[in-house]
Amino acid sequence: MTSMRPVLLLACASAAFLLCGCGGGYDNVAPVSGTVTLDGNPAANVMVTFTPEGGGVASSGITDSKGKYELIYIDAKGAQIGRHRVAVTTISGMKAPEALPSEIRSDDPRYAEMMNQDYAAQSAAQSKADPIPAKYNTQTELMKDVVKGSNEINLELTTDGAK
Amino acid sequence: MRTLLARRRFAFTLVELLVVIAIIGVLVALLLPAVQAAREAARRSQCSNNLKQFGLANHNYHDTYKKFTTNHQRRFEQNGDRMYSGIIGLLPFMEQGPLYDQMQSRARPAGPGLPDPWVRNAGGWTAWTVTIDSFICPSDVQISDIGESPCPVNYKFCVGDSVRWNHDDREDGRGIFDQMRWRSMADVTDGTSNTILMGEIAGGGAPNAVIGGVAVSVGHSSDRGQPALCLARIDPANPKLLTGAVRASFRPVTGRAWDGRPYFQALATAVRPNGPQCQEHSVDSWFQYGTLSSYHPGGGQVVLADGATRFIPATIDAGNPVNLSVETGAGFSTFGVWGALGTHQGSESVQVP
Repeated sequence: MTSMRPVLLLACASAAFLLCGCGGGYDNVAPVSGTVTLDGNPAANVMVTFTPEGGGVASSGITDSKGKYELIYIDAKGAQIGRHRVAVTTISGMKAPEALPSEIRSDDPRYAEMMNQDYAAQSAAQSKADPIPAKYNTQTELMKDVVKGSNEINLELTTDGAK
Repeated sequence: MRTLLARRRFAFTLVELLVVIAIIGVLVALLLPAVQAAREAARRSQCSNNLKQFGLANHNYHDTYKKFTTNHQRRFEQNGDRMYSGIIGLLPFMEQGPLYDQMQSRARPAGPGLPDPWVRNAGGWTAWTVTIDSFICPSDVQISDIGESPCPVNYKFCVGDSVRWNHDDREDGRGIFDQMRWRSMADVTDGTSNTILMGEIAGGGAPNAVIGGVAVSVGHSSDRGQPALCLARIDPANPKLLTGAVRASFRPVTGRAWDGRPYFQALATAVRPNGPQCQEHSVDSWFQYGTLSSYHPGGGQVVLADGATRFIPATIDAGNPVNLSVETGAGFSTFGVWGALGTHQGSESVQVP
């Protein structure tokens, strides 16, 4: 049985070699989740974006009905490790109009009619004022650090600073 | 004793054999994943070759006409106001002269007018329904339903970092290619080495996949594009899928080489590379967030206006996605290095990473 030892060792070594390549994913990314509140109430359906200060890809996530969000980095969960500029933007007010019946096939006569429509009227005036103050989105000064390991970053927003 | 030794010299022991087999096993195990990666590397290389051909065709076109081609042009049609792709003009420079002549023989004003750019084999018209190998990136998955896809093409014209598509051609776009506008090399004041000419977009695959799918019914913010609206459609539970309304299965973005609408022809550098493709409505949207996307691991390929092909990593600085796009005229891009590479007159000082 002692003669089998080198073989077993080699098998173990090869398995270790193979598993080395199975890490995948991004090495400078850590999972980030948390809750967004606006004046103490959970902010639903808002977009949270983390833009790295040192350059790189921003991560984003949408809050659910309880204000919980989870950031997505390209095709994985998380955000780049480091300092981020954080913005919170309402997206429900900018919903697109009803989708066109894109299922119309091009040999259907209605397809050509659909092409020549003017969608400008439909597109106009969709945007509403964002209930979240500009200091959290377009002029955000909010900075957060993402560290190694999992991060829970809760964002407590207030509409009028002092309030 | 002597005979025993002599006999031993010509045979391996069981342990020796097992060790040899194990070593071979380890080598194979190390090599096999590498072979799989080599296949994708070969496909990527071929894909970049095709892109280079498009770059050269654009340069030869520019040498001939002193202008680049346009993203879409009109006035060739037999019905209505149809848009035809700038790719048609590149055909003679890609060794597809006979196909070009066949199309020109039907095009107005000399001919009766071209059929709609999506028809397949209507009235004996077969020029649309061709497959040109150099139009297809071998890494893209095959289009499953080609009912409306006469000629697949993976390579798209860069229209800058703006996403608004105006039917009436009144505005100047921010990229080299634009509707009914023919720009020259001199117009590329950002430098031809810093401006994207064309890039690849993957179109095959599931309609609700981030790569290959399209999210429709994605809006805009006060008539300006906002990549966050598009990124908001990524499924939080599975970042490789889209939520909400998606494209019809028979309408991939790579399906119609001859249709000049942005859905089929345009690449905008607003949403980060390998991000989702998004449309305001469907094919005829006013807003289209079509970005670089591919099945190559980690990014996608572009050809710059100087003719060089480059791999753009998905991790490129694409700015804050809640920023609003600059829709017309010159000025800095709001989408970082990625946005700056798309503009031809943005005056940003950036280099391809």
